[in-house]
Amino acid sequence: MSDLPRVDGITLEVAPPGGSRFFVRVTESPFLIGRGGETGNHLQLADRRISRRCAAIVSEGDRYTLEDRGHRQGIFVNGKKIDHCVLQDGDSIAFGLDDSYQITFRTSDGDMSVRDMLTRVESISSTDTAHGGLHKLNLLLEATSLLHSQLPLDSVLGTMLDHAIAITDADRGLLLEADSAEQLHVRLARGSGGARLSPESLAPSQTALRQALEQRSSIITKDLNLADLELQAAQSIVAQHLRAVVAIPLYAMPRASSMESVVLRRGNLLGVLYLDSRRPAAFTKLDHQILAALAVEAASILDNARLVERERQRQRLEQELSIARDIQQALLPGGFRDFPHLAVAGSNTPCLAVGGDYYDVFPMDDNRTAFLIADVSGKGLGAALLTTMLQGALSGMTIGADPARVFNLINRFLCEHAEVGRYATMFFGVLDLDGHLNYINAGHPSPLLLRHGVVTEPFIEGSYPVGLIPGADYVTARMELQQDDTLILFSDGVTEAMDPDEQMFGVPRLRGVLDGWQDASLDHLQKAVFESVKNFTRGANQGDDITLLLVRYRAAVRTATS
Amino acid sequence: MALHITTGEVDGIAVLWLEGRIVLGEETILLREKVKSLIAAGNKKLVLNMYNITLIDSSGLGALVAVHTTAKLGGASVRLCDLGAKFNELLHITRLLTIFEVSSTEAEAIRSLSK
Repeated sequence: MSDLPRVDGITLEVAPPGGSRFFVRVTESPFLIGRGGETGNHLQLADRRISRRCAAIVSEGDRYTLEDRGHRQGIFVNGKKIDHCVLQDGDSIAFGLDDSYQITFRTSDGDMSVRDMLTRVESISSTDTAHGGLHKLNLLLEATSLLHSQLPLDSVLGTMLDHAIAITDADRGLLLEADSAEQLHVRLARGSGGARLSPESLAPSQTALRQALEQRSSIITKDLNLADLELQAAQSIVAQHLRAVVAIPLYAMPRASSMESVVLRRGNLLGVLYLDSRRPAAFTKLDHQILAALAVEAASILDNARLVERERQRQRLEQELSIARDIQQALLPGGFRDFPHLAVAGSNTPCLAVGGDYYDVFPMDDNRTAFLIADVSGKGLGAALLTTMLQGALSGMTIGADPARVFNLINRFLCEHAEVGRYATMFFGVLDLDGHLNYINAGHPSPLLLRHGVVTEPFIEGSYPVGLIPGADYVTARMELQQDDTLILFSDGVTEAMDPDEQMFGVPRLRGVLDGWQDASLDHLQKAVFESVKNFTRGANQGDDITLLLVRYRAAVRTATS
Repeated sequence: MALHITTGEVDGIAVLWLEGRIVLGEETILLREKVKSLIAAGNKKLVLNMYNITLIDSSGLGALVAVHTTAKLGGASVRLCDLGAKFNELLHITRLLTIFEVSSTEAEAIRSLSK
């Protein structure tokens, strides 16, 4: 496989007797451990009690086995003497000697938290001043405190990038953000010393980015001359004389309790932290770990920013919806002014923010008043758009258009735009001073008539819903109302309201509520209906918009004679 | 998905046994697509058996009308059967009983399409 050094490779954490801990990468197999270098030891231990040929770590597939190669006191893993043994992350290796080396086997250090990092950096930096360890520790501290500050996101990420450049001594750094299709886009570009670069001027090595994404782990090359052929030959690397490249993919951490030792599972790709240099940069082990820790922090910041942005979008959408709701409610006839010959009450409760039901009452002329209820198929925003269009079209009648012609026109319009995929049932009536009611029923449930305490369904005449059948012909029918007759117009949200057992409220129940009332006010009747529906549904989810319009013919009061 | 459609053939006539709800959303889309593909495959006579339909909302009704229109345009005829009381009432309220060709049983629907 690739011989690229990887941050999440196999590492030995070596604690010498009385000295500072240090880290050694397991790069060979067998990886030899013992006293001095004469026998080819990769990890050379300075303890005269330890044999020259002491132990070896051998890789087999993705397993690593520790073998005793002849240490006199024996090799111990987690306190148990072994001949050979498969190593697990965190296993402690000892040599059967008091006050001697202790080695911890580590398989993944890529996801080390900053807190972990800091404790390690502390123990290293005291002896690692030659590599500017203290300085780097400072950078890291600065960076992490900045990352959690309240500064604007871009300046936080910019600072993070500056620190990453400073730590690695790179020429330039990029923060690439992944969109929903995992395509990378440059979000920020910086040069060394905090110089802002225009994103277009930079061509990150696509090969390195691709490798990092494919391996789902960091690509860090100290010197490209030594890297694998594919990376060496990559176009941008050759063209730009790059010698060192770092590409660290940033993943959202799974949202599990961090206190539990969860198996680390990579989340969604958020982006890539990319650094490159024209000089071979000598990244030390410490650099890798600081970079990895920074990357974890940057990922969490990007992740949080993303959540915040999503929340903001949701709020914006909700705001739009609330504007739509306000407009829709404002378009309903507000505060029913009583007309000389009829009293009106109405209520519209959409099951979503906006709905597909509506009602309207408007004067046609001095002697006639129009009222209607409409129910557009479906619900929510799509239906609401159509109700608004219907309302506009129907208001045209106030300037003298014949209602049946208007219905024909609306029907034709909707059928011609069949892709709208919606239709409406409507009941439209025009009542004059003498109680003559002209009406069009477009596929709507018959309004109920309450006369002397008796309920009937008299409006059986009718045609199809509008917008469903091309060429449907709408005609006006006629009936006479008597004084104090009350019409109850309702949408199917009332009669199809369901209880928890999915039984429907139904027309018979609605009739039952209204039966017997003689002198009740319209408000009283309306309240009785809603209460009955509410008791029936017992809190079951409201599945449809609920609309009720009550119209009472009062008396033949002529304005001329009053 | 609250709608399940089983298709089969009886005497050279495509029969769709519908089960569940025909309601706004993927259910109406499924129904329309299914009929469209059957007609595109050359079926000229279709029966929709509604016996196991528990609910049809306004969008479902719209979808059934669309199915009817699609069939007409494609030179095919669709018959509904086993409507049930609720659906019958819905068709009655919306006056759509006159639009659809309706039989009370599947056997009757197949007989009348075989003529």
